[in-house]
Amino acid sequence: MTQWQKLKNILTAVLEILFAGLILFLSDRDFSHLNFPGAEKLTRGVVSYYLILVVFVIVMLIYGIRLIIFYFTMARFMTGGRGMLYRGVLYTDLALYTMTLNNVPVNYIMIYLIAILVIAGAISLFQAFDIMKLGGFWQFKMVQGIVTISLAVYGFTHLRQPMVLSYIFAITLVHDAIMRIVSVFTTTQIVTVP
Amino acid sequence: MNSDFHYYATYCAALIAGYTHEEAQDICYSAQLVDHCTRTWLKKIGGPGSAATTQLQSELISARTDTAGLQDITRIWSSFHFLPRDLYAEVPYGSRRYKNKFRLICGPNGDLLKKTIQIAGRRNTLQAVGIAMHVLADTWAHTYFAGTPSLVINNTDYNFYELREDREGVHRIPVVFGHNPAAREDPEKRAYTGSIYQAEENSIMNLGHGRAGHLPDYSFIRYAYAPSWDRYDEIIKDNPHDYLYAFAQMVYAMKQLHDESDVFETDTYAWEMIRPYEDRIRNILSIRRTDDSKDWEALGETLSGKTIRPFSLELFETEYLSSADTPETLLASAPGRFFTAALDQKAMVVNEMVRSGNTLGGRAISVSDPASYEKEEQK
Repeated sequence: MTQWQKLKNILTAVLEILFAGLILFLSDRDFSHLNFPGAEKLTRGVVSYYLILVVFVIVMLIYGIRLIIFYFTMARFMTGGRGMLYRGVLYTDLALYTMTLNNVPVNYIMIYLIAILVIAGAISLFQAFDIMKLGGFWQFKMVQGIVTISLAVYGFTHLRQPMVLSYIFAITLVHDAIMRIVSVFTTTQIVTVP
Repeated sequence: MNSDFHYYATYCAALIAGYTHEEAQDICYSAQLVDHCTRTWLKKIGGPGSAATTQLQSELISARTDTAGLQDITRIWSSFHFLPRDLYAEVPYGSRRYKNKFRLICGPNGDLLKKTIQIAGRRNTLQAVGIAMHVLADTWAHTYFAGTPSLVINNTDYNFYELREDREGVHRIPVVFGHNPAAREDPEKRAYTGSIYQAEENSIMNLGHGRAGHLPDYSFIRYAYAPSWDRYDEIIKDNPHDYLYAFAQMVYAMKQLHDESDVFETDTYAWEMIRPYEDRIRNILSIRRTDDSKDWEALGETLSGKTIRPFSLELFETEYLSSADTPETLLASAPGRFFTAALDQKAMVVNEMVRSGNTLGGRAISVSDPASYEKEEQK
């Protein structure tokens, strides 16, 4: 890993931890007593839910724009590449449309998060079994997989609760941040011959 | 290619080229080990992780697809399984990134193949020969795919047909890939497994020939498809033909290495040397099945009159662990020589990529003997 990549990873990890902290801080705050139009909707967990929603919309928007750029720089020369352009336009449009909505149900975002957790958990378990077959240290990956899938199951049983969504989202952010920091301080294998 | 070719066919080729039974076994062991030497395995035996020559599915799935992660994947797969044919190929369209990916498309008889054989000759160990034979053989099997994750290069679509010939002529039979990695492949039922379509350019599903499943690794098959990079043109891949050429080229390359000749010419084959066995080899290559090991093994044992020891990872593990007294004894052991040769190969390919202005494999990396390498390059 180059110095720039290390710096980028550390900065991203710090931002992730700060954002997770902000979400947790706001998750048990009730803003419904404030005096401005629509404040009555801002019960416990709703503000942090909106923050998560904003993140999702931004990610979708960036993804859509990236696809459009990808089409013009690379996929234009690929067999069947026009599909990229259509997808890019669709995602961009969907992100812009979501921004204009007054109310997006909590369970939509929760289901998306659960899907990500299930895939990540399954990958960890798959890795654990592979390492086990080769006789290595598989326990860490196994625990990681089980915890991740347990989080997904917990989320599934609390689909409509914005506070649970906030907790799970914050945990995944902190986990990712820790893994980034660990990867920065782990010795990188380089090709050298003694 | 699978173990039938990398292990047993390489053994046969080594014997024909002039190596003894014991030497041929060491060569084919190393050729096959290229498909097993993962970081997970190296970690287990305490070997150098940078000498990894392949990646487990689980390693790939969890690999980061940021710049550093992609460079790591590209270093491994381009160096050992998808040797680029022409790093300076003329690509009249596309961004720089597109051109760099296009230039990693694998194919036989490229400049890098020549350099691969040359560094194996310089290292002059049976392990280096084995690695070079793996790389050479795969340039024939993995032609038209690149050893880097890339949708725009490696993707395939529904336009994929197996070509089967009978008395009435050649038939185009549509191939539909399943996506269950645990499913058993059956050529008779046309049950083939390929990776899932992923629209992400850098998804590991788009690495190498994943989208075309194991078809490039089967010697019997002929197929036609429209690769992503060829702008709707159809390509026909004739594996029985290509595998025979791979075998003849391996014999030629190993003959040169065995005789310690500095000369290795691309597009040169040892047709005369394999002539007595050609019909039998053609027959092995043309039978519809996923594993030709038994027949190659039988041919090998006919050639040497000795039993070929089956491939076993434990063999190297034991030797490596028992030689761990000092760095010198480690390096002198067969696994040590394998790791050194693997690092040589990886360094050569990445340095050549960097020299061509292509950083998909990362920046220049050190080699075992930089001075002699550079000197050789300047000749």
